[in-house]
Amino acid sequence: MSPYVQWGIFLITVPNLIVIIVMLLVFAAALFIALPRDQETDGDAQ
Amino acid sequence: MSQNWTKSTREWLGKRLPASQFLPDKQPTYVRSAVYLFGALTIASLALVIATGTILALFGPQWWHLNAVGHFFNSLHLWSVEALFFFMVLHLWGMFFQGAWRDGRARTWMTGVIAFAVSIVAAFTGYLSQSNLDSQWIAVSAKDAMNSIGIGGLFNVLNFGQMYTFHIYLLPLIVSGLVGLHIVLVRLRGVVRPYPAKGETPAPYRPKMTQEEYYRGIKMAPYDLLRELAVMGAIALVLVLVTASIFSSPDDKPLTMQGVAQSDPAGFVAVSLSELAGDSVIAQYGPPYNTSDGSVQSVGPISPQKIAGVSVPVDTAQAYVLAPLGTVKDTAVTTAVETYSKASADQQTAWTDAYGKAVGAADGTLDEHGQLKVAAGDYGPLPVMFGSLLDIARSGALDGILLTDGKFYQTDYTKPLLFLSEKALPDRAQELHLLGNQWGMMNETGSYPGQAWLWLYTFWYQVPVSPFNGPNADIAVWLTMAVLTAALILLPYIPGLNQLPRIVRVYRLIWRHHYQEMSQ
Repeated sequence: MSPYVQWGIFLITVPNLIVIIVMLLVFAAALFIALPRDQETDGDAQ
Repeated sequence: MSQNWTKSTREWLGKRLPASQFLPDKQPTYVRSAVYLFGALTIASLALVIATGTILALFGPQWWHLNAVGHFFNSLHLWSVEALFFFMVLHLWGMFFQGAWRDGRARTWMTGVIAFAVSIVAAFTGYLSQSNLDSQWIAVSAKDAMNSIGIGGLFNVLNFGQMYTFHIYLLPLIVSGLVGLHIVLVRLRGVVRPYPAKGETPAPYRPKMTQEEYYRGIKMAPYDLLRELAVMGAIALVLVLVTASIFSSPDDKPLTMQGVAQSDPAGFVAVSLSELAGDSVIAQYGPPYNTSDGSVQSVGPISPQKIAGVSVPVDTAQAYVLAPLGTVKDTAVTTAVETYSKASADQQTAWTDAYGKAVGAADGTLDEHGQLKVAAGDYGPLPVMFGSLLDIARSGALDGILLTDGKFYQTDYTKPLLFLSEKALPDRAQELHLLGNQWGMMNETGSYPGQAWLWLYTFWYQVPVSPFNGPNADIAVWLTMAVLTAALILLPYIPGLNQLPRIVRVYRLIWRHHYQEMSQ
């Protein structure tokens, strides 16, 4: 039985709330993580 | 066009989608943010969903309910689905903040959003196919929404066989096709350029530009698409294995007519009596079950539910009482049914009213004949009829009778689920915090996340103003979500909304290395 929380019309179970919070955290973290890059090459795509 | 279809198709593909674009080994240097990985993680999760779902389909429901290995694969499938939506939503956010529909990429955006919407339907049919308590509750809750827009007969959420077919065949095919098309469009167009920096002249764009032309002058860096997919696949696999191993998956036993009759005989008789009297919720529901109008919804004068008509007919008195009693080879029961059937409507009402009050006051104990103990009164033949019906239900026979439609294989649970929706399922759902005012449809039994991606759909039911909390709530929520979904799909073409990413400026973080390099 999932506990749930309510703030006015916002009503959500705790497990779903955790998932949404984790999504926001992962997205925020991804904004600040840069992928490793080797050397760059000037010029055109192909 | 050449008369040789094969040659012209090969030439068209070679021109529109050369191998260097389909399997690129370079990409623009502005692709540096980890936000770009969510697309690959979504594809990896989808592959896991399909793989685990295929194994579940091969072995069937008994396997995933009764076998430990089967249940583990059920857990893998559930957590793959959670991973799929988790990453798909993050991918959607990432593409939104990049304004990824710019420069001729509207179709790429639209196929992605449509794939997301169809995935929700696919996941929904999956929840209905679990064949456990969750499935039952989701089905009886969702039927009103489907019925309100007139598709309840065509897409009958109470029909396990139909939902299972949708889930394992039709919808995966559509989702896979849409995702495939989305990927082809992504490869065809390449990733969108960053928004121009302050003072920077926007790079020219014209329709039908080749990728080479689009990226001209942009620095490129080595890239290994297949290695990225493999690494993301490994990450998704580990994530799903770990979550499935630690958290498993919910599998509460479904309710049965037998179980309800045994645990709550007074409740069972009360509901059965209302089905016979024709004053139950289902008896007065309306289309697609009957011609009443107790649960008919409409928008102004238009009711899609009425227009669709009765397509899943359920005569409650016949289905739940008279037909089951017709299977009993007992003269007393046969005579009781005959007496009731031949009585006047007023007499029938007098009996059912009096017996209904007596059953309502009963404490649920049974006498030595297995009949419900009620206060003495003039109930006509009803005590004999409902004593027998209770016997049938408590033996388990009624579960079979309600599935029987003259064929050997039975997969349509419409009748038993409609009966259980009257009292037993809402009672159980309330105990488990599954009601709408307890965050209903997106909830799961146990402490599991449910369908969090339905939050916006379920949110509207909490808005305390008409029409969202009135008798036409379902159709109002449907229409609201249809408009919002259409807006999301058509976002690239909606003035103002398609400029939102430029205003919120999250893209500055996604492409910060690019802007830093430009400022140097």
